[in-house]
Amino acid sequence: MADLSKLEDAQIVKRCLGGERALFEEVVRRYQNNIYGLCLRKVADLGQAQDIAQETFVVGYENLARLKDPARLKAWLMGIASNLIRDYYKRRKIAGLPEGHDVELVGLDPLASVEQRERHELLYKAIATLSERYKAVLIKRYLEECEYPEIAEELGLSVGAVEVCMHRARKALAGALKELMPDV
Amino acid sequence: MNHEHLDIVMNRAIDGKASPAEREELARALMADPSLRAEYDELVGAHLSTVALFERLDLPSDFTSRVMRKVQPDHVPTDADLTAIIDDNSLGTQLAGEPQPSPAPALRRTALLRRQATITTFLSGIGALSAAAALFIAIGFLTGIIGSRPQSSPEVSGQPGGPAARGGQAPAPAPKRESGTPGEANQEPGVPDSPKPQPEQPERPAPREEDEEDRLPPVKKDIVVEEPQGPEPRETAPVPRVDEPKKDGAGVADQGKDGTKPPPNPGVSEPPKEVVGPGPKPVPPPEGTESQPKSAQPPAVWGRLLSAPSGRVTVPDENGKPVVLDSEVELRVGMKLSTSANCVSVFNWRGNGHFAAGRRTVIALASEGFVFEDGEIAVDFYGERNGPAVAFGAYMLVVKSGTVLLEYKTARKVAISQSSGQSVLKLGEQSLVLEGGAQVAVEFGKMPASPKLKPFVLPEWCGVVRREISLSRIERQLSTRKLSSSETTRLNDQLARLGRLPHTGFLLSGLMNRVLESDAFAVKDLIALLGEVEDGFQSNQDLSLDDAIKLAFECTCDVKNYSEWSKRYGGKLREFAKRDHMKEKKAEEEKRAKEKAEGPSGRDAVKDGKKSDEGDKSLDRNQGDHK
Repeated sequence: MADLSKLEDAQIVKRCLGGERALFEEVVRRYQNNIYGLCLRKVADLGQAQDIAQETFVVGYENLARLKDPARLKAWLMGIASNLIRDYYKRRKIAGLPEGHDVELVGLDPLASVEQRERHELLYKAIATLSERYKAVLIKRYLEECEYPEIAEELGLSVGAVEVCMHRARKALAGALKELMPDV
Repeated sequence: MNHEHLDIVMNRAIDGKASPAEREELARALMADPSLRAEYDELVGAHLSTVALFERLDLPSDFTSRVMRKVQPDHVPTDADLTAIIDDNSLGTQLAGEPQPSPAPALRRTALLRRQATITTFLSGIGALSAAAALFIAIGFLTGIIGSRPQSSPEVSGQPGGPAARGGQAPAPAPKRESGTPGEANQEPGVPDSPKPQPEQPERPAPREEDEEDRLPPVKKDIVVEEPQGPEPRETAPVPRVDEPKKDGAGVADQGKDGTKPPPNPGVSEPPKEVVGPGPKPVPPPEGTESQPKSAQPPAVWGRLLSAPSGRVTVPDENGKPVVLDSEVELRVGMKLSTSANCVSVFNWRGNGHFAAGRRTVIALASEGFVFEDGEIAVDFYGERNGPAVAFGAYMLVVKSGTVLLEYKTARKVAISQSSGQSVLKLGEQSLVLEGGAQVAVEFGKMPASPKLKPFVLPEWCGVVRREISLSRIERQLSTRKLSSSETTRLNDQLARLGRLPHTGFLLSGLMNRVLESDAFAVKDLIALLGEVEDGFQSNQDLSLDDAIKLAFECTCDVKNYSEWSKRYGGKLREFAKRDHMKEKKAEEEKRAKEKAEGPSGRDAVKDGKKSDEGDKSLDRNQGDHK
């Protein structure tokens, strides 16, 4: 059996629509980090980000036949995630919650020490204070494990600009950490 | 040395991508400049912390499985999950536990494919066994236990560990695919269905006796049923018989407390002041039905399946085979309903509430509500009596008013979101009140903490079925108007959008009926009006959708046309916003005064981030590559 990771997106979509629905698992594996990374960038609530990521794939699966250009599967899924994230913020507005991020970390390893968990929470809060661009670069690099050329393409920057941006993001993060964890 | 160049070199060194020449260059620079050294150390520290954090923020290792289980009930699980099945543990029971290490993707896929053939058979066997076990246990609960409880304490499947279908059994697809045929649940268009088992002809139900209808709760006289005009109701598919309840069974619970017999079930009920049409005609019993022995009473009527705009709703017959229910069919206490993979459906309960059931939802109908076994369901209740009781595990949620959404996240975790109104979650003696905007995550075994106020909009599938409900309530008025296809589409879209927002259904249908009754408005005006109501709600944080609808209703009085209505409505919204603005201003002033009293607090990190971000704008312009 062919290695599924070598299949192009268009081939996978075609085979899924042809009846091999289980192949959608490969789509999930391929893009779960990208989708999740996008959700984490925009939605600071970890649980919500995971839910939205999951929902993105469910919606994608159910509407796969409506994808006009199978080669653009990733962009299509990102679009779905963006819409879901937008809905999420609309709901925040409905409930009268502030538009700023409400940082909550749930789902961390309960076996980790209290100190570790607190540190992670503070770090997450520090990331949440950064600008959108810095967050994007950090999450794409650390979570989605994208290389700089890929990040550059997605953000519309040159590779060098992305590298400078990463440096500044790390610097801003270090500064934020210093504020939040002065003892460390 | 160009500082920006050095920044990039430091970055590459941290990423482990610096060339030997760059590493040497950096080492020299760090030795020469202690402040640079300190900066570099900080950056390394931030990098390592971030790596550690993002490892924790990784998606759970079973994320893919979770997604595939949602989209395909017969999904073949991965290796990690196989162990869980073989050990007879439920999938998804890792309650914030350690993430399971997952094998390398290539290895997992190969192993997965190798086992696929065996697993399909294995799961089918589990599915059939689980279905049979679940059916017998559920019937035992519902027919035996339910009836023996007093009316005031609706049936709860009080067994710890959750409903029978979930207790220590292998995971889904069991309750949803009684036939055990792989691929049956695949209803998506374009996907060739596996051969479906033909449902056997079930036994015909007993003839309905006069007093059966009388057992239903009293209904207000001006509560209406919006029955579609047209031919006589077609003979519905015969409903499979459910085991007879005991003599003191479910039927008794439906009588009024004083033992009086309630009038017939009208189906969809509306609160007062909304007369739309005549009452429904009761569904005639199928001919040639067997008569029941006098001692065994047929199960009480629970309500009605109103529509399943997509997919199918099934109920198992005596042999456990699923039988598809047609819409408008009468439902009885004791039935266990399952919705298919692409099915959203709406039920009416006792004429006072609606349940919108999502895909792959399983509910067992009880006299005071239902047992929620899987999937997701939105309950809309607006009656004056006690609302439905929803049982899951050892919990019971009594919906007093408004809309609440319940979703099974895993076998032992249920999320509850209260869109509007109020409900009470009970676990033994403990109880928790949920009101509009409240959300709780229920982990079986303990009462959740205080509800969080979180934004909540009903899911899209819910909007679709609530749209169906709205349309059914205005069908008579709509039928007198001619709608173009674009008007139909726009109205459907608008109602689906509103259906997802927190509001009381009968208020919206009241507004629509008022508009459609009046000669001042055309259908396109109704669509525009609803759009303005939605916009008014969205643009005023403190204005609830119910209030927006009520304001709109007020403005329909004595207007000559839509444009007059629109001006009046705009005025009302401005008045409201002004009141709001004054309140906000006052709150702001109080906040400032408080801050002043407490002293300044700064977040320089935020400032730094923003400053640097401004600097980034230069990055967009002609930043050369550093190679």
